[in-house]
Amino acid sequence: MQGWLCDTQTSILPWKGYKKSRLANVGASMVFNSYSFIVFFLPVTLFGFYFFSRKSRQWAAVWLVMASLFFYGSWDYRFIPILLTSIFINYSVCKRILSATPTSGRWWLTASITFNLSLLGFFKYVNFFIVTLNDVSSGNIPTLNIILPIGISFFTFTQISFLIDAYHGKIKELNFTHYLLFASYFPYIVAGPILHHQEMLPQFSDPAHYQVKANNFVIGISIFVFGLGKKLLIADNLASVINPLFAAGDPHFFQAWLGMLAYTLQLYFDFSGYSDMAIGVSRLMGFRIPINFNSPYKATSVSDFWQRWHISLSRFLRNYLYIPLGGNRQGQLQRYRNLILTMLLGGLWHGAHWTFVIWGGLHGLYLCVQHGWQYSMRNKYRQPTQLSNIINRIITFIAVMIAWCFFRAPDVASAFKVLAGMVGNNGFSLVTEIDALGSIMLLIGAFVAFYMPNTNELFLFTGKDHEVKLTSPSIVTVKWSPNVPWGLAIGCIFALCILSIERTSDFIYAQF
Amino acid sequence: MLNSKELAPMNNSSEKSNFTRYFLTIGLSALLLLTVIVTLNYVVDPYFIHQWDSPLLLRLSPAQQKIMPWTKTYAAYRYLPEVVFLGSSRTEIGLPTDSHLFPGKRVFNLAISGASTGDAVNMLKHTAFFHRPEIVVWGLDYGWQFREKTGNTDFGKELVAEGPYYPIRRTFLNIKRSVSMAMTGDTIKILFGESEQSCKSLLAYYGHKSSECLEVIMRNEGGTEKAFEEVLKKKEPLGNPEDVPATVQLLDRTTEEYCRNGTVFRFYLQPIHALSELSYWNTLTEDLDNWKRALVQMIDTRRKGGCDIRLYDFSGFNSITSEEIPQATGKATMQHYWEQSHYRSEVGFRILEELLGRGNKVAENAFGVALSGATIEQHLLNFRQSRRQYITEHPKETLNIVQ
Repeated sequence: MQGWLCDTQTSILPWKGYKKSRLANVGASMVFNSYSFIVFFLPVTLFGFYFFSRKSRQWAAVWLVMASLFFYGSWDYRFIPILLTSIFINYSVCKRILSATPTSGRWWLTASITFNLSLLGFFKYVNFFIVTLNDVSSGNIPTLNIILPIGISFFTFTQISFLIDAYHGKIKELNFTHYLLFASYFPYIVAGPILHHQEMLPQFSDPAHYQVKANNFVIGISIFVFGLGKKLLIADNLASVINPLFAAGDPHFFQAWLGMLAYTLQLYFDFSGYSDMAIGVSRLMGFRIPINFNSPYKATSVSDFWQRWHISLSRFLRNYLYIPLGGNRQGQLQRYRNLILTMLLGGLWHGAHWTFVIWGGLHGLYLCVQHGWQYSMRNKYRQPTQLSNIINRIITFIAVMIAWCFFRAPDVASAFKVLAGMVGNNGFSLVTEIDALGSIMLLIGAFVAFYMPNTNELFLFTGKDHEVKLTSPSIVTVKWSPNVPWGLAIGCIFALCILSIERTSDFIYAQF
Repeated sequence: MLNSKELAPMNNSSEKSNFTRYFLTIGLSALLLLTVIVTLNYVVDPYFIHQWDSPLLLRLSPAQQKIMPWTKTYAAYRYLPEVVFLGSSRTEIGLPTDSHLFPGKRVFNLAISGASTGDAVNMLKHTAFFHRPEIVVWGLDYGWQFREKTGNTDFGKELVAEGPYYPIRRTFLNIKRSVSMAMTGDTIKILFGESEQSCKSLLAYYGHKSSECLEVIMRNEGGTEKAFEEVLKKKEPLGNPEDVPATVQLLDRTTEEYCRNGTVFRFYLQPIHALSELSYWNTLTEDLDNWKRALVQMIDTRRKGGCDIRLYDFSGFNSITSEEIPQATGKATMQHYWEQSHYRSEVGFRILEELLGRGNKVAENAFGVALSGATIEQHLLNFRQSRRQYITEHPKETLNIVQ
């Protein structure tokens, strides 16, 4: 029933969060930023893990598997059979590949990749294809009532890379419990980072990782709280700036730019906050998972951006798609084709929607323009100056922000409405009504994203094994250490996060 | 793996004491800050989640008061009402509790904004846990609110009393609810005198949302005329209820249970404005009729079982709901309505009179029809006829709605 006086509990905003994919029962799930996770799940899991570690590493690993399945099942118990089926089949195929001849190994690899992509395709893309087919052929094929299993893109890609490396002889050891833990490990299963076996399996086998170490706790808790703060204090508060600005549908120039700036920051703090929490939680158990962000908005080019944003996905796309396609080894034109193709598929990986395809295509185009420019200027290379770096950062940031329009919009038409606003098609009225807390968080968020050291730098990660560039210009140089002032700061951030949990929202990347 | 510069495993007592001090600092500072804030929120209680018979009820509040299910469930637990009103914001705004129709009775309006039928059932269970109401007046809405599932997301199951430890559980819940950034912001505003002070809390009017609050809300939202602009533009009807049979069965079970102990039930269909009736259910008239038939069947069954239960239809195209809108009269306000779907207390008072059989039926011709198996079909025929008549008489207003 509608009416101004009636609180209908439903948003009328055209962009009301993320509903492009259908997620099941997200409200009742156990997410990192929930009381049930912080007060119940995490302490019990840690206690059990270290308790069993004293008896047997195998038991401790099994305990973590059980905890991971419980965590995953809390989203929807029907997801567990899907995950386990995927794991069992991939493990069995992997064993076949390891003992097969090159020819039969290739067959098994093809079959297993087909299986993985079919599983992903069925749950994530089948309705997209049906709708597209209907649109193209004016047909009327009914869509299927499918619930998208949370994290399916992450555990599928994690396992595909394992299979490919098994075929290439890069897998030395295959322990079922460790594989099960690798594929179902709860810190990554919902929203990544996409794990690589070379980083995780040796840790699961190493007895040193099953020992209680105070520094793991110190660093793990600190990073977890930082991530929690990014999500609850910054990202969630930015939503109050974004939603009203876009409620009009045809935003004015300043509305559109302010809204997109807020969204650009929200997405970063939401996703990097999740990644920090995943890294922190895993570290509490002594296991280190790869970093996923490295101050992406300090990037000086689009290719630099992709070395800093969702690093684990970029790495996957580069190693298992771009390079096998030929990379830049077959000339410039092939390179551009491969870049476009890789980014289009990278866009589609995020969801079955044309907006994601366009977003990926735009980034592919950006990369082609950048490499084309660099190629044409190859004989006129000059050392970048401070000014040129600043200009490059601004251009890159604006390009990325424009592409986010498609990433956020529910459909292509809505994205173009925002773009029309950004070029002034809808007028230039000043923004007069902005949520005060959201505005403060916008300023703080921008300052942190552009000028502060990131979590990796703060906690002295060197990143040697992550193939990432960790030097990024910060006007504030600050280093964390386990002392009283830092303890006070982390304690206060934690208290503020606890106060904010009651109104938190789901992680944006959990839908992928 | 991450390497080199990270802290080495704990290897001496100085490092150990550093880590211990660090952990203690995190824990104690977080605990201290949380304790201070939660205590402050609990004492100030900006949303009246644990107030009854308290001087705080005289404190002026914002016109749009928050988390009303918390406020009302606590008040019901303390006040033990004998007459309760259930339903959505229409009932909360429309039915006054100072009516002389219930002399000497403790009357409380337990309706909550956005409530579904399931919410209303839970509210009844809650209040009956402490004291079984003698009379239940229940406003029913067609559409998405007629469902078992929660409508008001603040009305969690944990608020509904069951078992012997509710007071302790409730105190714990109140403390937990005080762990809130939003509540802290509102507490600070109150302490610094920055809080909106528009009207008294609903509790001061026994759960009824007062006219002084409504005046402020309507002023802030742009007024009655602006509200009707949306109705005049509207073309898409609202959706049907999710599951009518299951919700009717829920009502059936609930009324059976309470009738057995002598509770009197008066159900009524909400008198939303005629234009809203047209706009919301324009293409759903058959479904709407079937919904009414299902309700009548349920009521008749209960009556045959000896229950004092009645159903009245105040909706449709009668002397109240057909009031001319500001666009037609040129006046800023309406006599009977705040906006398209919320009626004023005067209308609510007449509804109560009619429901309790104390109204002047002759004077108030055609507002409120008692429904039963014997009258329903004729009523539905009359309903359609008056609908057609209304459209004929209001071609300009209904142009976009019925085309």
